[in-house]
Amino acid sequence: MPSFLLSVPVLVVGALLAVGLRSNRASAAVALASQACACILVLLGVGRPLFGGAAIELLWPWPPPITTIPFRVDALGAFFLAWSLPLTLLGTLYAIGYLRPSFESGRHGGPHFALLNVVALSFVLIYSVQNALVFLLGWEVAAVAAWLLVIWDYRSQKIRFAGFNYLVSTHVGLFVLVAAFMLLHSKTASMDFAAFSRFLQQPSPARGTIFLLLGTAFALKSAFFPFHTWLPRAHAAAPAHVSALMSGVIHKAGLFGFVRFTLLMGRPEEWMGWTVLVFGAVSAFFGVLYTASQRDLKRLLGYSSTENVGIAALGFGLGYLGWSWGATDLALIGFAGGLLHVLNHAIFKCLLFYAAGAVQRAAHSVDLERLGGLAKRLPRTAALFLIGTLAGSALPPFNTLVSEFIIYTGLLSGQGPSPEANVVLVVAAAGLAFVGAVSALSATRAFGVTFLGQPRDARIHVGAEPPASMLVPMLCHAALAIVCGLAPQLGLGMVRASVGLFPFCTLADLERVLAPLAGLVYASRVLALLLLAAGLLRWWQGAGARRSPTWACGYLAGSPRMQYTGSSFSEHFARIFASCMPALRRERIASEIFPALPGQLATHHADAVEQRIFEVLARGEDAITEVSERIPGHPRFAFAAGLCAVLIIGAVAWGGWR
Amino acid sequence: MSLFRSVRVRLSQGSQTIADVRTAVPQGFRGLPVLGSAPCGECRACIEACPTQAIETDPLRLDLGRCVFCAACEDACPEGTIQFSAEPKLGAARREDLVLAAGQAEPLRVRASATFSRLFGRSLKLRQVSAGGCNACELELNAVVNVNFDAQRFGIEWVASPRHADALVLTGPLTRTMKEAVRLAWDAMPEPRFLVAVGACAISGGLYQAAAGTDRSFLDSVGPSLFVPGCPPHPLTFLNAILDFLGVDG
Amino acid sequence: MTVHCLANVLGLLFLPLLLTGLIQRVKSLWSGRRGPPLLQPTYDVLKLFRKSPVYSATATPLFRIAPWLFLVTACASAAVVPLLGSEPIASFPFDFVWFAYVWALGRVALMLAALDTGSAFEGMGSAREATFSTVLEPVLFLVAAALCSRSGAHSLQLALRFEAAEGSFLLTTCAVLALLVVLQVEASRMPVDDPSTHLELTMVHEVMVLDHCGADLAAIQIGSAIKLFVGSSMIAALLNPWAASGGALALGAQLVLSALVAVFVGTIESLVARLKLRLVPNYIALALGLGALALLLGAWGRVSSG
Repeated sequence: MPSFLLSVPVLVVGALLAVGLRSNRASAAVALASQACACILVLLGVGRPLFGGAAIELLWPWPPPITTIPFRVDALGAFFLAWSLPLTLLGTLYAIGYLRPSFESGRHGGPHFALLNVVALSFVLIYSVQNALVFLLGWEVAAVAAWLLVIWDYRSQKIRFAGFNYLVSTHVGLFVLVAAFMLLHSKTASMDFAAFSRFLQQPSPARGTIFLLLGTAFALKSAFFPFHTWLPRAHAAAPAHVSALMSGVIHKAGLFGFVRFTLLMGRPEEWMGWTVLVFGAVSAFFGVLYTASQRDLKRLLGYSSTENVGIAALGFGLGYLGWSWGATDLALIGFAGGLLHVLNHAIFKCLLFYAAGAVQRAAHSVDLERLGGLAKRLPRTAALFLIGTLAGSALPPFNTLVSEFIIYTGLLSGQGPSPEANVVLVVAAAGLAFVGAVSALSATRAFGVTFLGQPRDARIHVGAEPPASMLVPMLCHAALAIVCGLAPQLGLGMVRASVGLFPFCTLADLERVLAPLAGLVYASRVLALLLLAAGLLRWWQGAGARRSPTWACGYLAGSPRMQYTGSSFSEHFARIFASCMPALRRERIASEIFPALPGQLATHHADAVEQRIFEVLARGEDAITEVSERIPGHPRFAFAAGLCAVLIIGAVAWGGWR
Repeated sequence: MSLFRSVRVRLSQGSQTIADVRTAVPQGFRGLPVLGSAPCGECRACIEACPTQAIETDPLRLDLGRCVFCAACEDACPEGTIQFSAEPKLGAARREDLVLAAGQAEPLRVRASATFSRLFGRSLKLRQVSAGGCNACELELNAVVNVNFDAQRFGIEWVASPRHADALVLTGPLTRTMKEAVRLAWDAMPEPRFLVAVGACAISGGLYQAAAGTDRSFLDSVGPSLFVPGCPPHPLTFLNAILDFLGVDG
Repeated sequence: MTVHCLANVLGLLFLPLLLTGLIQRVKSLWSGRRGPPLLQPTYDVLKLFRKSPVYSATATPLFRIAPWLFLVTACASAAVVPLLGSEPIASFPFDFVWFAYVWALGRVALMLAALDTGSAFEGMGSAREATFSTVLEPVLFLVAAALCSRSGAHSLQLALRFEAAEGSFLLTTCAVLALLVVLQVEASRMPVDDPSTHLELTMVHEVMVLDHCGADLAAIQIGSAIKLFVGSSMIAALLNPWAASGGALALGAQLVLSALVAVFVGTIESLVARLKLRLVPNYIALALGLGALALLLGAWGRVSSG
């Protein structure tokens, strides 16, 4: 049995022990130990395919009707496995410190740690299995485990609703996925991916439909626009490490599925590439718009996930287009950039969520309008959050710039088949630049309003810095963000073999198209050195300087509430894009000269898509109520109507059977 | 096109900058008072006429720091001992230099500061704080950077934030309500910095010497390095005093 | 190679503040005054280095570090631009992407330092600066892509080459005008921002530096001057017919053209009032349109010529 499969029983045993043990400390230790073991087993096992070796193939016998479960860990699965499990391990470590206050007040953490094991288990299944039914099983296990993790604070009604919203959305995705698999099964009479691949490689009318169905399912899982509405609510409700793992690791399964089925499908048609590109651009655009206006730090980070999967999809769309045009350079760039961006996003998003969790733990609030000046009380958290936001805005010398740079080189290379195509690609690049600038705005706002200045709400009492179990994962992620920015060969080394799976790829070609990176890396290293030198020098120099209050034009009645809040920071921006981001405004402004009551102003940026869905649902509900009121409420009449319906349906079915 | 119109307007304006501010004498300006050497005897007409008690006898002395340049003394004196000339250079670096003695005919010289002339000789940024005055001094100080006097050619400029400033220019009698604000502005300034007291109200309290609403304790803790008398002082007075203080040749 | 490096470094040391001084002289001429001497910005900066700092009690160490990060990023961005008309210090494919993101890093550093003071004023400046830069960022990419498709190469050095070919004139005009708007926004010039005002209604960049003093303020002033110099160098390189051949003629033409850009900026500052804040994004959108036009010209121009 290959070592990576050994991790499954290790995780199962760990989960059962964690549930069974009474002491929280023991449950946590068992979960950590089992996950660490599983990590080592998986990493040892997938090391060979990860770096270009042969794939691990295995046929696992199973009772009928499945008969055998094919496992195949090729470079793509190895890539996703290689970082999913270690990041889950770090998340479990973080959970120990983060949930300690709950444990001290008597909650039993065993099931929670067991669920984290189950999530890790689902990765092993999803990323290695080649059978549709078992794939769906892993998908469902991941979804349900994530739902149960989200509703850790189930006593709050809002959190239960957010969890339910998440559960419903993920099952809508599941149904679409089931529909796609059923369609494939009807064409191939098999549940194996190999058979699917043989069918999909042939041109057929069903190919497009299957592509759309699978794309929708994976878009729902990875929170693309407009299927993202469950994401902000779920992130606001879940504990910090669960949000981190969801955004960084669990939802990447959607992108994995997407690339996996691209490989199975073979050469795509051009319209598929344009679809993916446009979807990616739209997700990135709307995702980043919403990050700029949220007042809840975790919702903000949730929308940022939508933005980043959009950017990764931009890369994949470029890959699709390149493949369909036969411009293999573009295809290589697109897929390499997209896959690297998936890894980079996982690195910095987890860091950001962990830091937000530290803020929540210390201040019991993540509301931008009420926080402020946290850098003085939580300097380490502030520094780590700063690294996270700078990395998230793709600023040099951090890691995200590398993947975005690769995507830029493809979009701006001018290698499309026609001037129209080139122009559209350049417009996509300009859109990516816009997204980068808005995420810089959002990063400045999130860090500046939370950590800098003075506290805006005096009632918030700020506690201590997070304990070591929370700091260590943050430090690991921050170090990775810096190292992968200065030495991107580390990340690219993992991605290389996955891109090598594409039939048109030769490693020499890949090196050639990634050659411009050398200049970027060199420049970033020099820049990082200079920035570090300047920063350290200046820090030591000015420490003993004289202090005086911030110059406020001599105004003597100032208060911290006069500072710019999060919503005032983004107000002008939100007004420019008000058509895409409707704002609800409630105001009571007095008209008298000497008003008796103070005025009030509240703005709220609701998710436009969610608003629309609720409106449509509400209107649908109204319509149903109206119709049902028209029907007479007589029981005999209802019985007769029901009988007629059953007879009609039976007749139709019997007729169809004949 | 409006560009051509702008060029036409610009050409029609010509050059209105005073070429040499060191030797310019404003027309009709009531400047440095000259005290004659003739003995006054028992006559105290000027002392009774002066609204700010700026004049003392035995010997005859006139405190420019208190003088509001109303010329009541000139009108009251039967002998014509006190005569106001048109000399605009009135600044001094020490308070005692502002007390004019009889027979003193030369204009006041400001002692150049060695440290400040080395630091700010080519670039001086000033921050003005109006501590409760009538705004006449502020209007004149505002004119220092206009087209006529053009202090920017010497690198002298008004700045908005005390953090950017080298000198605090104080006007007004320093009311109680402005005490904290003046202290905040001074504390906000980075060293090296100095204080300039402009106008009779700032230097001595002027007409408000005995007023109940003033609190001049700030000046006890921070002594001004430069005094510019006047009520209000002419822009040329202010400019010449600053240039002399910085040792800048005209 | 090293001669070019040294020349660029020397140019970076001396020319930015001279260019700022030139703009001040132009403004003085237009307003009919003698005005400060050409070296006044240099004198101001030298004096600022002699002041000992005082910091706000609310500020963290980020406040005194950020201006120097801004200066480093300004210098780093200047490294890939042909400042003196011939070769930049460094050049690699798609370096304009790195250029744009390095400027963004400097901007973020300044905005964070402004928020660090905990003052309503500085927060306002940060918000305005951030908003304008979001609309501006695509302009640089559109212009760079248009120039790249015309020249066939992907680095700034090769893209910013003067092209005398037929039909290139319109593209160059669009690119120059769009780059002028980029200069006006990034270097805080009229009609986007007034560098000599201190009224709440009109400040964008000025208000962010209200609490800095001494060497930190000098670093910010030098950094802003470098950004202005880099922007005008880019425009001058596009218009410099001798840039490809290099040598003294190219250098002279570049200096003259940079000076002309400074004169133009100073003239606009003297004759045009600051746009209403609401209209500034519309003005930048105009530049976006020009960039798009340049892109279309570049894309189809290549087809017709190649």
